Amino acid sequence: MALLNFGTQWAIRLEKDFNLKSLLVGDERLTLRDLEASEDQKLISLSLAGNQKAFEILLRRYQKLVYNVIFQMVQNHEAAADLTQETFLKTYKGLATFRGNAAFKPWLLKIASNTTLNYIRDSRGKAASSLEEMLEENPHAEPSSKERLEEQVELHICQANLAEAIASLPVRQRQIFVLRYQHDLPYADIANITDETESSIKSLLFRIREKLRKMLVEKETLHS
Amino acid sequence: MDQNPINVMIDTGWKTMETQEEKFDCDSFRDYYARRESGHSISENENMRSSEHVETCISCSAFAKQHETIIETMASLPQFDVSEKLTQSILQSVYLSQPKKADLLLPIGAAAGVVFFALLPFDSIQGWLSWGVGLIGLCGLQVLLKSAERTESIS
Ligand SMILES: [Zn+2]
Repeated sequence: MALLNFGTQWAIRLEKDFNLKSLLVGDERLTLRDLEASEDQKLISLSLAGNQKAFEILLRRYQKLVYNVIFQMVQNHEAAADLTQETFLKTYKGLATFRGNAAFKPWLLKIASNTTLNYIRDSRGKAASSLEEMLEENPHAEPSSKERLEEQVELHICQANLAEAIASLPVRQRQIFVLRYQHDLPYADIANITDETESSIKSLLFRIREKLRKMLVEKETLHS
Repeated sequence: MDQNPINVMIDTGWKTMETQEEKFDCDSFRDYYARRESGHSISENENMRSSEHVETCISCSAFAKQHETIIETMASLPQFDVSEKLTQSILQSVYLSQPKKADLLLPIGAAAGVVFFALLPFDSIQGWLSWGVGLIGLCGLQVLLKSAERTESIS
C-alpha cells in the first residue's frame, strides 16, 4: 500500500513536470505563471489543442462571475452550482465554434444565460417573456409623477433590502440589472447576451431602477 | 393672420419651447432624468435648467439621490465564492467529456505488440521472460499514471 502511495505521488510529480514542460506554444515556452497571466484568446487556443491546464485557468477566471450571475437568476445555490457546471461543459464543447475575434466573457455569459433560462422554462413550464412584456405586466415600473411625498425620504438601503427587492424582480430584469450594476458589464455586452438592442437595455435599466426605488422607498416609509 | 400651415407649425413649436423655457418643474425634471438615463441626447440648456431645479427642489434631489444609492449599493453587494469542490467537479466533467488520445492509442499499441511478439523467433525462454518483465513494467507505469490523474483531480 505504501509502495503504491509512493508510486502514485511520484507519478503525480512526473505528470506535473510533463505538463509544465509541454507548455510550448509556437516558439514560446510558458510556465504556469505565464499561463495564468495569458489573455483569454491564448488560453482558448491552448484548450483547443488539448491543454487542460489552460481551460482550468479560464474556468477559475470566470467561475465566480458565472456562478453569481446564475445565482441571481435562480436564487438557489444548488441549482446555481449545477447550471455553472453545465455552462462550462457547454463552453468547453463549443470552444471550437467560438469566433476568435470576439470577446470571451459575453460569449460565456450568453451560454450561462441561455442555459439558465432553459432551466427556468423547463422547471416552471413557463416561457420567459420579453423584457418589454414583463415591464408591461408590471405597470408600477413606469416612472410616475404622483405621490411625491414618499420620494423625499432619504433612502438608507441596506444590502439585504436591496437583495430582497432584486429577488422579487422577473428573472430577465434581474439578469440585466445584475450584469450592469453588480458586474459592470458594458451596455453592448448586455445587449448581446440578452438579444436586445443597446438603447432598449439603457431604457429598461432605468425603468427597473425606478421600480426598485419605489419598492425600497415604500418599505422605508413603512418602516419609519 | 398667417394661414400657411408651415408657419403655423413653426409658430406653435416656438410657443411650446417658450412654455418649456418658462416652466421647468418636477415633472420636467423626472422626464429629463428618465431620458438622460435611458441614453437619449440632452441639450446643454436642459442640463443647465435641470441642475438649477434640482438644487432648489428637495423632492427631485432626493429622487436623484435614491437612484444613485441603488447603483452604489448594488456595486457593493457581496458575491459568493465558488467552492473548490465545484471547481473540481466542473474540471472532472470537462475532462470526462473529452475523447482521450490514450484511449485510441491503447488498442493500436496492443495490436502492434501482439504482431511484434508473434513474429519473434523462439530463441530462449529467458528472452521471452525479459520481454514479459518489460511489458509488466510498462503496464505498472500506466496504472500509476491513471491513479495519479484520479488523485489529482479529486484533491
Ligand atoms: Zn422638483
